[in-house]
Amino acid sequence: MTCPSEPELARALTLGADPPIAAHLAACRACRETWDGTKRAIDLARELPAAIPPHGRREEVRTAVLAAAASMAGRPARRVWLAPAIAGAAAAGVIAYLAIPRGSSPPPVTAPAHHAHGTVHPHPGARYLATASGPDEVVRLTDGAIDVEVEPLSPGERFRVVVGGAEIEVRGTAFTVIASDEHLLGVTVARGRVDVRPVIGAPAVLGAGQSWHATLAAVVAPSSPPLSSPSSLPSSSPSVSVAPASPPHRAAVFVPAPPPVPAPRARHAAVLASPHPAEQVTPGEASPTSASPQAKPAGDTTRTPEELSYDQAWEALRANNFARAASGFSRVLLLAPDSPLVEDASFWHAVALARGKRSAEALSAFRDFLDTYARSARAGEANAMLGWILIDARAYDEAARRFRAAVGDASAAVRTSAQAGLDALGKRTP
Amino acid sequence: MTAKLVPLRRISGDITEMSDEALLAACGTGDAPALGALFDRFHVAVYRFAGRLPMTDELARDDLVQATFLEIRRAARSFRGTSSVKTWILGVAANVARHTLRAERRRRVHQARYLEGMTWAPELLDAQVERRKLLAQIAEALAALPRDQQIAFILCDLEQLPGVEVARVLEVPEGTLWRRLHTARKAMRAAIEQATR
Repeated sequence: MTCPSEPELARALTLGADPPIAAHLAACRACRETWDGTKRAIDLARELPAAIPPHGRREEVRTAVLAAAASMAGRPARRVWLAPAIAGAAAAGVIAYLAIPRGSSPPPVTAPAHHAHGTVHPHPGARYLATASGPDEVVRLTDGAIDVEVEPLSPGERFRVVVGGAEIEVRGTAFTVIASDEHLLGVTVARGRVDVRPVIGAPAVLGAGQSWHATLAAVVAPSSPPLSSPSSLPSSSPSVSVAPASPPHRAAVFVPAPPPVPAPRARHAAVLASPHPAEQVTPGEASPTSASPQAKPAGDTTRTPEELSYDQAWEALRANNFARAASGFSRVLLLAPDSPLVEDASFWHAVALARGKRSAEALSAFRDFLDTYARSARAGEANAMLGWILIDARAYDEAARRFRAAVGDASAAVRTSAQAGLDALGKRTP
Repeated sequence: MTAKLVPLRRISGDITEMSDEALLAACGTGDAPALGALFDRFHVAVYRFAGRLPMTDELARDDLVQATFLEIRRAARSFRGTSSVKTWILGVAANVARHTLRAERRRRVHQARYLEGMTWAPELLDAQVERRKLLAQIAEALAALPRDQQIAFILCDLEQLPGVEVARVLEVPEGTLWRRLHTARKAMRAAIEQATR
């Protein structure tokens, strides 16, 4: 009895055993065991997780692919595999991916861009990107001003300009949209009709000659999220952000300490003024009631936009609205990168990401914070929190390094947590 | 620095009713919506392939998926119909992985350390611990394979694509594929035998 060769057996496992091999398997115990063992290994390997990223991230990659493909348009298609071509494609992809998604702004565009149903005339410095195809067309404006002309649409077709969470829906018209840092500042309609759906306030329908403006408060200080209950609020007494008793396979429980209260300063409304003053619609041009600004009153005008954003982010953090908190703290960094608030905002940004279970982002945010503010009073706290996240990520060497950096912290709770982390890592080694 | 607006012109016919082959052909003419539609149809399969390929982080997977679809756009005209479009696309992904992820090998040490964590689960004491250990062994064995064997194993045994087609898209003789597959399976089998001993 001759056993089949290894490639023969491999082939049979894939394609199904032919009669001679099947007969052999029935008679040969060794081959049978090999066959069964291999099948078991394959079955187990199929159980290995192949994590598919969330829809939003896949959409970002899709957009980046289409943007990079557009830049390839006109070049002849390659028919052979060449490392430089692949490397070029990968590089273009990476550049586009880094440039477009994950919160970074698309680069400025100046030439008119023709859409299936219209034309976008960007003003100098405008940042925008078309991000959807098919009957639902979307132009995503990040910064600056664009004039848009849209042909009349057929039933079922849509054309929208999206700015952050706000959107302007078009019905066949010409209009101008102004944005700053993904916040809608204003819309002016030259002809036709436009639906404005701001993040804050009621939607408005604008006709020809009408305008919509956001107030500073609407741009900077979105309405506070509801607090779930008073008992859900953490103590206002100083506390630390680590849980010494956390087992090594769990994220550290975090109790946010109160933020420093920034001193009121002169209002810097210019920060959010239109990047294109010439295009700013004056109040005198405001439309009738139906089209007037729906945003709330500006409120405390003695505070700077970054201070308002910081406070809002902090409220969101206390309300366990981690996504909003992370976004708010990150906005502080964008609004005023030189502000004294930035150090704290960076720290709390990382904390909000960690509490929102966005571990990869939190990891990076804590590392950035520690790289930038190595001497921060919160460095120990950040190192301890980062250590626990690294344990979750099974990056034990760095976790140990981070804990060691925190064991000498002034706070006893931080020291205890760091020591607990080191102990947990010690137990890991037999 | 300037950006280019993504062209959103429509191809003729209802894109949702077009066959995979027709979409690929349209893509070969530079039709952006066709590329978008191909992405919609196959990106999960490519992500799954990338997800199974041992890599150090998620960003590398995103990059692999992105580079794959850009290469599809570039190479669409070379599709000869000797395999299904899905097999061809995964073949493109495999080729991109082979060429662009060589740097990954330099990260082996890091990877091994990362996977080391998977074998440590004393704190997860529950009925699934043994299974987790087994899976960790399998993952480690897969990560330790040479890239060509990983690709053969993932495409044939995990994605269950026809071996003959896989050999074609990888441009290797069938016998080579079976040998790679056999070696990979042997390593995987040894891993679970070791874990259950």
